[in-house]
Amino acid sequence: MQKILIITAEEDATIEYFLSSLSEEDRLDVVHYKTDRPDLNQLVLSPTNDHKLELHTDGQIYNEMDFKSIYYRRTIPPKFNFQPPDFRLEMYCEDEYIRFLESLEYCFPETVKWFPGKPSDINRAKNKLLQLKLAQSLGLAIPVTSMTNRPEALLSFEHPSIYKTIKSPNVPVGDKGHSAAWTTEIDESIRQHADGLLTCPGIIQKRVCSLVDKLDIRVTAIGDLVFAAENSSPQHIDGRLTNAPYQAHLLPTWLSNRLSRLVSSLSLNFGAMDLIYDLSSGKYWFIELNSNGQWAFIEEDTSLPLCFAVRNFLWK
Amino acid sequence: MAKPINAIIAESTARQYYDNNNKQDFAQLRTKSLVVDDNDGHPRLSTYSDGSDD
Repeated sequence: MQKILIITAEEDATIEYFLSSLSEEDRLDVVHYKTDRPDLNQLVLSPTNDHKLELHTDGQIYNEMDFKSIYYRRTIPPKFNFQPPDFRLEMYCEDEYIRFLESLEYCFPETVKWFPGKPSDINRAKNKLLQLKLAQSLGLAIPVTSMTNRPEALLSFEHPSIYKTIKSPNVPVGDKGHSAAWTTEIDESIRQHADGLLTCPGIIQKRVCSLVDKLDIRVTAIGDLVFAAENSSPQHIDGRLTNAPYQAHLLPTWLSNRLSRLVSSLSLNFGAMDLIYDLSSGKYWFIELNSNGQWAFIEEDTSLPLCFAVRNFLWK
Repeated sequence: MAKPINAIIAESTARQYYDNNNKQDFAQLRTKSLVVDDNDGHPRLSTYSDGSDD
């Protein structure tokens, strides 16, 4: 029996949630490679050799033929804690580690199924402009958007508009090491810092509807299945900040089909997509796709069978 | 060079949360401000974890 390989950090709440949903029998099929525990997990990648892969974990050795599918999720490098502290060397080693793990995709036969996709496809799909271009080509409504380092572009952008980061909302500022830059309305307090774009580019986007008319939709595509959930967050531009639980949402079939095509056009088998539904016009707006986003909180709130869908994708 | 807009917003986030003296709110907001998943920035991770993976 071929195994299911899960590659993620030791602490990954989504994977913990998923594993807890499995039967004891299914759990025996899972090999969990913990990317931040090199003391327990090591790899030898030799894609041009007869034996392309040695995966050492929990005292066992596996090769590339031992796996039918791979869930590549949260590949956090080890914490190095050099003494004396050497932040630059840590950054260097972390980057080398990520490249090392991404090279895994060249060591498995093409018959292996990747979830959400191969590392190179996951990374490519993270580009928000690529997502918008593809979404538009599929007939989805998208907001007017610019990614820019030009202050004048922000100052002249039509109102009302929002600002968001290009890649990560985690910004290394503050006493605690980092804080979050959520999607924010562009008001005078942002405009007066427009020159900051010269230092760090960002995304500016037309706000598609008023907060009171906004319904945040999270669409989770797993294989051929599409699940949608809604949340109203009238106090927040950024729907991630709401405390209200999600509820199941019924998407029109045409939209569900287009979102499914968007995911497959990115060579992915999964997508966690953010949409906005304008209650006043009945129009859906595609905002972005998270190629390796979280999904367990949606099942927890709505009881939509996402674990079941992931399990079936990996095992079938 | 001017300070990035990302840093301006993140500092504002941190100020709002750390200046809050209500412990319950602080704990709740700390989760929202600091514990976000690398893959989609979503803070709901905390729903079923202690949030120690930030």
